[in-house]
Amino acid sequence: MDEKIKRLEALVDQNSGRKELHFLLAENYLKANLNEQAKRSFFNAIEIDPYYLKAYVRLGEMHILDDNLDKAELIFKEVIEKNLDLSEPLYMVAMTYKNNGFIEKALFYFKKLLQVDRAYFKAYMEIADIYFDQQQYDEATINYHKAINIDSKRITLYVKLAYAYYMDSDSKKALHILNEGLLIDGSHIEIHVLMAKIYSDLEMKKELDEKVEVIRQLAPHMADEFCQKLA
Amino acid sequence: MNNIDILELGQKLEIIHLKKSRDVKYLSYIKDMNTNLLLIDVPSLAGKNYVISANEIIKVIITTENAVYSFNTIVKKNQLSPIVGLWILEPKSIERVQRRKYLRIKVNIDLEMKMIDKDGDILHVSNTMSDISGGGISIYTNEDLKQYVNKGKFIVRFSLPEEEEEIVTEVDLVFAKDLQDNKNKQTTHYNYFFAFKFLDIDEKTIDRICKFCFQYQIELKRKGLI
Repeated sequence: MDEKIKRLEALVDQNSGRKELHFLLAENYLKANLNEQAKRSFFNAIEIDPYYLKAYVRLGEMHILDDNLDKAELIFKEVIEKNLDLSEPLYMVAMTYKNNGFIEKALFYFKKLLQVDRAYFKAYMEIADIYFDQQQYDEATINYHKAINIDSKRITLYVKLAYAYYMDSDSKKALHILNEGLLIDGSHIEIHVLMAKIYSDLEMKKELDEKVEVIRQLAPHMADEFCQKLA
Repeated sequence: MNNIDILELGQKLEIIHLKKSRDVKYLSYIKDMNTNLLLIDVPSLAGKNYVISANEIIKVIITTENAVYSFNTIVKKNQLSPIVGLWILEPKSIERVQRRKYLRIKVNIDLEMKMIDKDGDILHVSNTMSDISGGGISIYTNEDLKQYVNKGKFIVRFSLPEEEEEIVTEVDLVFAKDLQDNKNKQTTHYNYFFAFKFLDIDEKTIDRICKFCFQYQIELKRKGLI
């Protein structure tokens, strides 16, 4: 067994009431493919704190990876029922499904989360990302817009929304959104690069040259990279 | 001394995201250490994770039994698996921020500390105060009180000597030490030492406690006991 695990086991022995040390030991067991020990340590952490969301989620994820979805679902339901504030557990469960490729399950939990908390912008963003990946750009733009309505200062949302419009062949709307984004952060390089790409597609040479100049001033290497791609 | 040796696996940390709110302290702990880098848990508050992006600057605060330390550092990258956390740059040195804010004195005052769970049931009672300051108290027990954290609240009730008015306040567990190994147990027959900070105490009461601590210290000095 590796030295780190031995040190952690000793640390847990000395501090048996510290849930986070049981959790850390479980993560290290997982890393070493000692799955049964990992499960036991996650359980130990939950025994110390029956509301320990992170431990439930990792335990549920282990069952997903074991192809035991029913057991994972039972664990997720247990932690959701236990927590008075449902938003975080629902978000973490949805993300666990999403990260492991169970998109329908992820969508189910993101939508359930929005029933509980309509202002949870990250849920709209994740839903939009899923629709974007599925090339359902209409649904993606609707959900990015909803996220922006909640958190209008988050620049990443403008970039994602504009990109969804661009992929949906609506360059005019994409440019409009990117200009809105520039009002929040005028030096956001991703925005300038996407605008340059759109100007290039639309053969708007004057605007393209101006934009490449802006990129050159902000990040010279990106301007060179961009020009090479155009060439 | 650069104090770097206080960094160890499992060490609890408080994290301030300097770009955002300087008033909010998130909780974390050291999960791994390698050359020049520390892996810390994703900072969280009340069970909610707080995401900090790479290249952002954070302030790390470490509270030990005797002092508070801090250092500023940079988040190098987020790690999603197998061990979730943030890699941060290990500091070259760690500043000792303060010995402590209030004078702490060892004193024998009767107190009653209860741990009341969310259903109103009393899970633990102790009555052995070890020391007191304007910021909090510490106690020795044979029971590991960490098991009760997140299950409810600790309420302490005591009176200062020669005062009738009781002080009743909720307290938060901020430091714990297991005394069960021989080295630590030389000075006490108890198994654990816990420090708590006062949570809902007014300035006037803090002043009363501080005044008592100073007078008590002066009295001990006058008697040649310290």
